[in-house]
Amino acid sequence: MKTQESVDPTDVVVRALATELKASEEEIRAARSLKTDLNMDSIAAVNVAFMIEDEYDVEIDIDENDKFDSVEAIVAIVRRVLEAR
Amino acid sequence: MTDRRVRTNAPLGTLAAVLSAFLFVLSWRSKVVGLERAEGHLQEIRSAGGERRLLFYYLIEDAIPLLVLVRQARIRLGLDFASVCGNTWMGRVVSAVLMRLGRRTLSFRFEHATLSIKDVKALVREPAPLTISADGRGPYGHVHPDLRRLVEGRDAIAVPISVCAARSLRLCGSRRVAVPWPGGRIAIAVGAPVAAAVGDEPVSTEALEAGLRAARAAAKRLLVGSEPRE
Repeated sequence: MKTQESVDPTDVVVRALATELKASEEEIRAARSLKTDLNMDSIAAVNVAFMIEDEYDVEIDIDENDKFDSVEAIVAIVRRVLEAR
Repeated sequence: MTDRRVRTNAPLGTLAAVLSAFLFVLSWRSKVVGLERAEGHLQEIRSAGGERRLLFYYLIEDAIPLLVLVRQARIRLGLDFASVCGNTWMGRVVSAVLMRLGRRTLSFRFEHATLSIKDVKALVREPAPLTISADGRGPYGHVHPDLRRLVEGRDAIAVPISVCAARSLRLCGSRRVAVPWPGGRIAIAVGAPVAAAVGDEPVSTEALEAGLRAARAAAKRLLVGSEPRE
């Protein structure tokens, strides 16, 4: 079942990151930089994007100025995509 | 839909034209060895792979012999490949040359944190078989660990290919640039496929590297076996 837009994307993002990076949700939330603290590489980032896309049935289009390196930054991208839908 | 090809500017286009002409000189009267066997092997891999995506990888020192081969073989190895080119100066030039040869290229802007994610996403989703250098970002002569991740991300079958020239000029002793001698012999060998994660056994960098070494040895053997008689 697809997640409703009204659901806070933070939980969805944290869950996707925890699954992909094999870390606890606490570790994910505490990380300042997902790349530095949890070794998130570009493939892991893409897998996270795919999980979020599947969850909301949207396409995450990453902009040049986006930072895909923290929960807050990814949530901001998801919110932008959902609003544009 | 966004056109992800590397865009060329005028100086780059001119340089690509010059290099294409140089490529014509290099490939003039050169003999390709092992092409028929490679065609057959590719066909087998495509048939056996079914819906699985393919990812062909090679060493960067094979890049120019490979370009010569692409020019020589034209459509024999298929036209549906998309070549991954880094966003470096050299990568852009190679991309421009490939486009002049009617090939499709995909850019990989690995130096940019966010755009690299965008590009990797395109590479993972790309349905066409990809060709990529395994050591384009160094260390040269070794499979970069990120290749394994790309193979897994695409759920791909990785296929090592090696294209060697019987005689080549090493620029400044570089391990990266080998320019084949004009009119010489060039051998192509397609190695055994390495499949991405099946169950709990993910593909390893060592397996990818072993496949490449075997393909290289096969290409060298083809060259030895095709030496012209005195």
